[in-house]
Order: sequence, then structure tokens, then C-alpha cells
Amino acid sequence: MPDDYGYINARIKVMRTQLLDGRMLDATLEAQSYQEFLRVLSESVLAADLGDATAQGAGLAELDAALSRNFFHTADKVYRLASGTARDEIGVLLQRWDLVNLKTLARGLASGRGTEGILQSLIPGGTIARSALQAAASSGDVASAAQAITVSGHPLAGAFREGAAAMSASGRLLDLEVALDQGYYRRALAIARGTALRRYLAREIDITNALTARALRGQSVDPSLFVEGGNVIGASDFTRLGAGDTGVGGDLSPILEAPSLEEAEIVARRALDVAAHNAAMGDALGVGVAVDFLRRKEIEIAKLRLIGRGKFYGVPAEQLRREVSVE
Amino acid sequence: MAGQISPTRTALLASKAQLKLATNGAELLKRKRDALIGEFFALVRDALAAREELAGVSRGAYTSLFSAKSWDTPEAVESLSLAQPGTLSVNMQIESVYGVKVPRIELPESKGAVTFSPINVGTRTIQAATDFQGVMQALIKVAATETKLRRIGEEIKKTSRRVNALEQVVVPGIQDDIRFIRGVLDQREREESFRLKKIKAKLEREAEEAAAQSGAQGGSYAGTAAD
Repeated sequence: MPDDYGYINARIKVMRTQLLDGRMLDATLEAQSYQEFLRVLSESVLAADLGDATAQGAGLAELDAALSRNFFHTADKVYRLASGTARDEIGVLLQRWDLVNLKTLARGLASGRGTEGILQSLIPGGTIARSALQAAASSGDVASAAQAITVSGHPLAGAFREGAAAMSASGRLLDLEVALDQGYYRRALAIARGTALRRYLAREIDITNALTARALRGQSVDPSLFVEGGNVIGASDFTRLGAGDTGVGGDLSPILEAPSLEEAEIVARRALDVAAHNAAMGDALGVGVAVDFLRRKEIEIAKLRLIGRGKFYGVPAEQLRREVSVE
Repeated sequence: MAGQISPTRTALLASKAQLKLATNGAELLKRKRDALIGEFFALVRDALAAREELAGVSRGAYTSLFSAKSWDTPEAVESLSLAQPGTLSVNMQIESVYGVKVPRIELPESKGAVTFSPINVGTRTIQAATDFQGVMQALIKVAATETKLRRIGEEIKKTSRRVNALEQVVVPGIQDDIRFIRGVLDQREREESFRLKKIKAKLEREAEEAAAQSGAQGGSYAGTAAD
């Protein structure tokens, strides 16, 4: 497989043309019922992945599974296009799903859930081999699960081991999760040295820090929740932001000053979209195109989930349109 | 019942005591029932308020979950639910309301602190988690109020059945017994009185006859003596 972005980006640009356009999203929004919504979807490129979602008696669980399948197939397809450095860089984008899966493993094992229960909660995506996840889920405790992931040679295994040790020392699952989050960003920044991905990640880290500070405002903010690597918010700023001082947020002030958490998230999501778009514009021959495409795909699937839920529960189209068009 | 009781004065006294006891018991049970009904209606208001609160909190929580699952993926949201223990401990004590044992469930203290890393977790998911903590508290409140309501309702039903049994069966039964014993005793008294009258009449008749006889014998003796 080629490892140059010329080929990868050409393929991604073709895949980008298959994203649902505004007209198709409008058609799903205008559907009079959930069944009609499914019919509209079955006329789109998503038809191949709909599977059980269109069967008699199928509900939101089947729709969610179908949309997840479509998203992760697409992400995996992009990942498989790449090799060498490009594969590492695109892998960083997919490892955020590994991060969720590792947290799911830890949460399930820490709360004593059975192997089947844990496996069912895993995301069908990311870069960790299914066999490694199965071995980890059946290992019985978090430390053994960390060993199972280490054996697979996954880049986040080190962070998982560190987290397991931190959890074993403090008895708090939160420490493991924070160690995983920190480990992910450390690794991602190390891979993305000097590329558009680095700029995108720095922006994402700043936005994440701003959202964390906004969400925890009024509570004692744990300094370990601060993620290093952003360009705008430093560790001391993070503590001040948590205390309610929004003057240190720079261009992230709209997130920090948003009247509600929902509005803060809408602003943050829009800022991330802009960052992904800028990455594609500024790095047309690099990873930026993949960053932007995966972001667009993720938002497309999120909007379809939202519209599908709205149609299933009979939410008025206007209300759904407002929620969807906040982007 | 009346057929099995021995119609004696002792039985009459015992039945009268039973009647008094049953009437007093019915009266006490009626008062208990009235008090329980008062308590029941006060609780109904609480239960309705708790239900309304649950409905309101649930609506908000499900709306948050609706958005959270859409934007943050259902898998990530469900993963977070694994971080919570499958069971929740509540403080439960048994208290007595007019002799009815009802549970008093105290809500678990909400620590408010997140048990998962908020990094990379959507604010809608955090909002949904917070909202569902509220749902859990409202649910426990509803469970506590409605269990109390059900227990008191059952006790009202039981007490009403007891009052009805006393008023409709036991008291009339004892009154029948008393009527029966009284009837038998009165009958016996009448019989006794009639018998005594008869005896008295017989004795008087015998006395008269004896007197008449002795009078007649006296006359013949006198005649004989005169002869």
C-alpha cells in the first residue's frame, strides 16, 4: 500500500463526495415518520450498512448499530489506505475510539461486569485487535487487562498500564481514565510533530481544556484534568478558568462565557469544525484532508442519529432542524 | 351460633361482656381507619407531587440522553454507564404509622463529583449523567412514598374488613346469642313461674282438699260421737 498522502487524499476526496449533502439531510428531516426516514436513508450510500435497521420491528438500537458500522467502516477504510508515517498519523485519529474502548474495559472490570456485557459495550472501531479486546475483557481485573493490551503491542498500552497502577494505588477509576486521556494526547502530539495534525490537536486540546473547565466551574478543579499541548490555555489558566475567571480564555472565551453547557458545546463543536477545515486547507497534501473528512463523517453520523431519534419519538421537524443546524 | 351456646345466666353475662368488647373494638378500629384515611390522603398528595417531580426530571434527563447519544455516540454513553456500580445502597428504617410498619427510605447523599474523566466526554453526556442522578433520587422518593401509601392502603382495607366483620357478623351474632339466652331464660322463668303457680295451686288445692276432708271427717266424727 502507498504511504504518500497524494494517493490517500485523492481517495478521501472521492469518499468525501459520498457524504450526505444538504438536500439529503433535508429529505431525512422532512420525513413524516421513522419508516420514511429509513426509506430515505436506504436510497443513500448508507444503504449497504443499514442491515437490520430496516427490518420489521427494528428500533433505534439497530439504527445506531448501522450508523456506527458505516462510520467505522469508513474510518477503517481511510486507515487501511495508509502505511508508514501516514498510518501512524491517521491512526492517532482512530485511537480516540481505542481510548473509549480501553475506558469501557476498565469500567466494566472495575464494576465487576461480565465478559459478555463488556464486549457488547465496546465500539466496533479503533485500532485495537478484537482478539486483544476479548482477551482483556475476560482477564478478570484491570491489571491483567492492561497486560493483555500490552501483549497486543498497542501504542496506548503504556498509558493503560500507568492508569492501572494509578488506580491500584488510589482505588479511583478516575485516575486510570485521566492517565489514559493524558497518555493519548501525549502519544498523539509525539506522532504529529510539525504537521497540520499537530495544529489541529493543539486546538482540540485547548477546546477540551476549555470545556472541562466550563463543565467543572464552581467545583474544585483537579489540576490533573488539564491536558498539556494546547496553545491558548496553560495549566495556571486552567485553574483560573475553573474558578470562573473567563478573561484568560483568549479566542476560546465564547466557550467559557456560554450561558449553558449545551451552548458551550455547540460553540466548541463549531470551533473544532473550523479547525478541521483549516487543517484540510492548510495541509492539502498531508493528514489535514483525513482530519477534515473524518470530522465531517462523524458529524454526519451524529446528525443522522439525532434525526433518527427525532423521527422515532415524533419530535417536530422544526425542533430537529434547529438542533441539527446548530453546526 | 345461638344453637351451640348454653343458655345460662353465666353465658348471658359472658355474651354481654363480649358484645361490649366487640362494640368497643369496632369503635377503636373505626377511629384507626379514619386516622389512616387522613394519613392516606396526606400521602396521596406527597405521592402525586413525587410522581410529577419524577416525570419532570425524567423528561429532562431523557432529552439530555437523546442528545448525548446522538452527538457522543451511544457506545461512549453506554460505556460511561459501566463506570457506575450496578447497585445503589439506600438507608432504610421501619417506622410505625398507627401501628402500620412502613419503610422510611432516605435518599443517598449525592456527592456531585464526577466518577469518570470529563476529558473528551461531551457536556450533554455529563448533563445526562447529572440529570439521571436526579432521576434516581426522584425514583427513590416515589418508591418510598408509594410503598408507604400501599402499606397504609392495605391496612385501611384490612381494618375496614375487621370493622365490617365486627359490625355485620360478630356483634349481630353476639346479639342473637343474647336474645336467644334471654329468650330461653325468660321462657325458663315463665315456666318456673307457671310451674310454681301450678304447684302453689296444687298445694292450695291439696290443702283445701285436705282441709275439706279434715272438715268432713270432723263432722262424721262428731256424728259418730253423737251417735
